[in-house]
Amino acid sequence: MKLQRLHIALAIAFSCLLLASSCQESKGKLRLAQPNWMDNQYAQGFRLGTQDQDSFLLVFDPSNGDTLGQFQWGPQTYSGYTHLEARLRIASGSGVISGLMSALKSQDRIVAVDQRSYQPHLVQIREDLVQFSLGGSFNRDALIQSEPDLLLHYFFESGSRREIERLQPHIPVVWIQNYREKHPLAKSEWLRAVGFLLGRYSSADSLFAEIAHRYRELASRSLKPRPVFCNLPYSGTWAFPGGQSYLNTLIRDAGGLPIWPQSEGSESVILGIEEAAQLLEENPGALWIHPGDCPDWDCVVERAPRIMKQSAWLPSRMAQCDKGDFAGHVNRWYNEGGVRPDRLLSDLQHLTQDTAIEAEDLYFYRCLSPQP
Amino acid sequence: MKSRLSLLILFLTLLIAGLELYWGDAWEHQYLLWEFRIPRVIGALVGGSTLALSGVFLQTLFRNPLAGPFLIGISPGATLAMALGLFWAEQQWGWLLGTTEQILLALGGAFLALLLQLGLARKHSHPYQLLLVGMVLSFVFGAATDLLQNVASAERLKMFSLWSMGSFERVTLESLPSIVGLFIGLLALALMISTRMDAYLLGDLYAQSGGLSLKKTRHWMIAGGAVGAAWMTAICGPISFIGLVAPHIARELLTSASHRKLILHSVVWGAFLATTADFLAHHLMQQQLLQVNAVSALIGGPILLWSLLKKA
Repeated sequence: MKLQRLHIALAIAFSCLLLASSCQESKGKLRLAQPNWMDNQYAQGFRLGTQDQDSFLLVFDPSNGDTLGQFQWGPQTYSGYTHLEARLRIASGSGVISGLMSALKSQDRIVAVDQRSYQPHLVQIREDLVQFSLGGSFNRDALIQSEPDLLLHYFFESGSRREIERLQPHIPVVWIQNYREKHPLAKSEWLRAVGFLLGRYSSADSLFAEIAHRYRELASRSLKPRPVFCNLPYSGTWAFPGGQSYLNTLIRDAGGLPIWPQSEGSESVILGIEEAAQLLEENPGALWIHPGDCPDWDCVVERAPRIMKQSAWLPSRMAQCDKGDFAGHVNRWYNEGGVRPDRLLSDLQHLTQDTAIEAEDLYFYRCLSPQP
Repeated sequence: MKSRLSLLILFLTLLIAGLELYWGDAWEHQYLLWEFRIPRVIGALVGGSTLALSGVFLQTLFRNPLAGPFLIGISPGATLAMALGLFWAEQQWGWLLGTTEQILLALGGAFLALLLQLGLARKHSHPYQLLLVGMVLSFVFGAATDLLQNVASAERLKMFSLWSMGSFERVTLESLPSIVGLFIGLLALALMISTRMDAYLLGDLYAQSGGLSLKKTRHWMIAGGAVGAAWMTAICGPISFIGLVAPHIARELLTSASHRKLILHSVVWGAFLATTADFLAHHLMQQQLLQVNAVSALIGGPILLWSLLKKA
């Protein structure tokens, strides 16, 4: 009986403690009124809002709309939002995120990156740039020691998301899932989100408006349709971008006709080599882009010998997206191309319309041709 | 009854192979037919049989129906070599792996594992010790491969994952004679030593009292099992299920313990599993190639379960 009373007393004491701590937590926080939400043009993965002197950022997964984070900064604090104290020292989880920051001239704020060799231009700015990830290994200690105010990162699957979110007590994590946006301009519109977060919203907004205007102008041109083929076989399979994928949209907007089967989603379409070869046979004179990681024509011949020995199938033009890459580690097409889809589209239009003869006409692509 | 079932399976296999050869408008595209379709179909037929033969050798050697190329480190050895090439050599030196280099690497890794196995077998030739050594090698190779994956880029990981799926698409007209030649050689070896394998299965004492050289028989079986698996892994990537399940099904269906029969029936089941898996991988989903490894496991698994349950 005594023991039972003791249990009840302990339970009451514990409940009181919980109540007290929750009161303590909510003390000083205000309920959220109605911030003025700004409309996005293309992006599905974020929402920006303001209320008085306070700013609000909601982050979603663009593929399913799940909320990934609610952030707020300014003089007030609000329940349900992570209040960001400072936004000066940034840890960048990918070259794409660094690319977004560089486009906003905020690269000097980056104090840590996933891999130094992927971002040599940042190492030049800051020699003590901390590296916190090598391949799949996440070095939490190195990241914490770099003392960032924020970690901007992405995730592919929930496992790595959970792993990184274990940092939350030390460093707020803002998920930048722009790679899941399907439209090229949606990826680029993340400039507005990053600019808003870094306090450079007006320049980010005007840069995006300029990019979007140029993209739409290029996409509205009347173009001669040109069959387009892409990638290289690997281990008996040939992967093509899905019908609704980012690359497919770019190709179509550039006047290209993807010759592989068009799926309804953005997931890759995987074909056998024979089926891929048949596509080339049926579409002579196609433009062949992104031939794997081959830097030259000979490499393509070596990787796809059964295709390349059929002279009738050889593409009229082959282009690789590695112009200006550094030591095989950095791909500008990924890092900068996502920010500047207008330049990507310009390159692809030059290629599909056969208008770029000189290398300087292209930002991200190089034409590959057989050795004389 | 059992022989009739295997005959039926043989007929079905040839029917599926023939259907695959005539599928679509392949005959209107002679180059595609000869350069891609025929090597793949024959590759699946012969490759499946070779893997099954390899399984027979290894399961008899270890007197264990669960033994296979994966268990004694051959496939993990090839996989580690590929991982080294893809993740380390290419990233360090910018060395791009062509098809020939991939085959050589996988072959090198598989044979290195085999040499280690043979070297250790010299002093420890008991099947259980061999099996244990093989398992340890597999774990070590697997762990090294996992470590290498930690330093790989997402792109490389994807390439490695595609390689490790295994596919008969990789069989070319140039590599086909080597596969067919190897199969004929292994079949001849298996039939030649089939009576020795019969005696070997009865136990060391019985086999030795019958005048059988245990050491020689084991070496033949290791070499046969390992070379078959190594070569197929090098050409097609690791195809895991067929070598394990084909001899197992054949053994479950046969009433006789004769290896001569087991070999022939396993060859038929190996060809059937591989050809059917390849056919389904290509046609189960429209315009989407599936993984042969997964499809073969989906076909072989229920058949194996059925045969086990039927026996029970």
